Amino acid sequence: MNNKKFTLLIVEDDDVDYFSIKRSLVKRGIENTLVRAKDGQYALDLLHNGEVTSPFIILLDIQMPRMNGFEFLQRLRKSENISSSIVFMLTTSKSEADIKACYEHNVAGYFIKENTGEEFLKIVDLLEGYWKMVHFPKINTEQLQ
Amino acid sequence: MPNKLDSLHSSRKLLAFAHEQEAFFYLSGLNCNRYRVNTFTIPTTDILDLITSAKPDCVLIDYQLQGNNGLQIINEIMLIHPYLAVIMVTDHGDENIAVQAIKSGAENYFVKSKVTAKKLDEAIEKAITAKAIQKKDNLRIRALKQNESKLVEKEKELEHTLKFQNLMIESIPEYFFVKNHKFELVAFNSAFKNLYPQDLQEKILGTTTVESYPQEEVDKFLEMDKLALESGYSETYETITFPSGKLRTLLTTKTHFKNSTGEDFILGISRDVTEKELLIQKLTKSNQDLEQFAYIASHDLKSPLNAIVKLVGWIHDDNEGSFDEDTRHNFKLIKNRAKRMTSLLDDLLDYSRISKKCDFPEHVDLADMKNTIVDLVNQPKELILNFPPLTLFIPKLAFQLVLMNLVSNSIKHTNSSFVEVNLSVDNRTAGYVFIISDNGPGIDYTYATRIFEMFETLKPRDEIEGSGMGLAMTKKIIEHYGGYIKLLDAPIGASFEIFWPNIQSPNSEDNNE
Repeated sequence: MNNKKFTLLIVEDDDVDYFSIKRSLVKRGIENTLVRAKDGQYALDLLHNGEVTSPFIILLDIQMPRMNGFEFLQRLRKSENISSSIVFMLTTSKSEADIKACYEHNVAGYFIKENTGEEFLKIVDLLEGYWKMVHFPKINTEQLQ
Repeated sequence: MPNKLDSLHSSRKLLAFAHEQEAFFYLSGLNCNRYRVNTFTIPTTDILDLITSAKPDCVLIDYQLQGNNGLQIINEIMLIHPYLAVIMVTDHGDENIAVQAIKSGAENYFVKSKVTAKKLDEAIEKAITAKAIQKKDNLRIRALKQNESKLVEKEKELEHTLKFQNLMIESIPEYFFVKNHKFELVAFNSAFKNLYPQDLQEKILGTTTVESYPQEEVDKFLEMDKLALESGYSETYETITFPSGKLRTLLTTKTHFKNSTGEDFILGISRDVTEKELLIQKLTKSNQDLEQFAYIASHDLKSPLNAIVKLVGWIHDDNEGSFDEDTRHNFKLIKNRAKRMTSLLDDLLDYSRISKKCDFPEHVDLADMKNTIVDLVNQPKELILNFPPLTLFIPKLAFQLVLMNLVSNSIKHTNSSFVEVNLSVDNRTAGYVFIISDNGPGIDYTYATRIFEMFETLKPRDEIEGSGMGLAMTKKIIEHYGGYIKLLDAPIGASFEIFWPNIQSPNSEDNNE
């Protein structure tokens, strides 16, 4: 069991979706550090600057300006040190092609935003269960440039 | 005395008429084997009747009959028997009388005292033969004349027919032409002719009009002609620039036919469909715009709407304690309106999508459908569905949507503790006739047509939540399959009659999704 607090990096351009996750975490009483990036480029910058403390889980949207989810995923998997980061997709896209592409880049899971509201609580519950039970790869964020 | 001529002629019947018996002396030498002679001195008034009944081969008339009235008698005989051989005899020779006798129709004229039996014999034979020939000739001429007048009549008919044919061709409001198997023009109307430059118009008959083009272009021009000749029919759309400079779209159909001698021809008609094509283009664009709008409405409008719902919910959740009654009520209203809008957007999208779907008939068990509907609808109250235990052959999804709509309406509007919906099925040759009725408050028959219009509700939306799209959508679905739905004037509850025709595939231009 992991008792350490985990960091959640949310890569999401929509404010309401971001707040939905934040509120769900609060509702479940989960204490953790939330870091937000509004697009893929910003997320990469944060990771490379060591502003995302390990262990962390990345919640990634697909539709974003500047650099979208796919591009971020590809760059992430090619980067040093952070390539084995745990990524969960959180997107509106139901496309089979998108789902397949994401899994081919080794995402840990794929959530579809149905906009019913309730599912964000369920997602948060799953993430909590995940970080408590699952062992994370070692990522030394202090060594990142 | 036996004569060589005896064997050539059969017996001839002769009638001789005179004023007195003595006048017949000239007949005494005639061969009685060859001639059967009867002499008469009857009154002239009886002569015609006698001739008619006796049917002689030849008649001899004495000039002196009834006081030198022989000529008159001959005239009378000729009127009735124009092909009877008549010979006039007289006591005294007279050139005038002779001429008149012949003019009156007699074949010959003799002075009694000067004629021999032999001469008489020859004359009688000659007269009979001549008259026979005359009769034959006259009959033939009459037949020819009849044929001639028939021919003239037929020629007139033909001219008439040709004129009418030309009139028909000219009256065709399209461009009309006929080509032979060598693709040369053999007929066309003025409209077609006027498509060509003035100086060529009188020259196009008998030509393909593309003689001066290189072979590859000729082949392309005549492609549709060849297709029609080989397979019987071709049609194509061509955009051509008219001599006036206008650009028009023509639909040209070519049909193959054979004439009575087996020669092949192509009949061509070109219709100006420019306006129609423009209209079709506009309609297609309009439909595309509508679909795009419906899609945008659904996806892009729903997203901010959902955000509003969430934000409002958060404000409510975070501040619930400090709300007064009014504020709480207002929040409830906001939530309701948002939900209503979402539901409306969903309905709009479904409504716009209806004609894209193509649902083919299949075997549908009403018992299964009943269970599906019970599972799918919102049931705040007890729901009883009375469906007959039948299997229908009907497009499943479409029919289910219709039933669900109507059942949902019944649930929505009920004023009792349970909802009961009855369905009756009448399987007619043309299709199914359904009657579906409930135990609700019913619908005033004065609104029979209004209820099917888009966005129409009969109760304020705050009393009964509804987008107003349900019945409009139901009607659209049913009409898409060629049927109808109408409100029945029922004493209790709401009652609808639906006709769903038997067709193999529904009315749909886009059968591909």
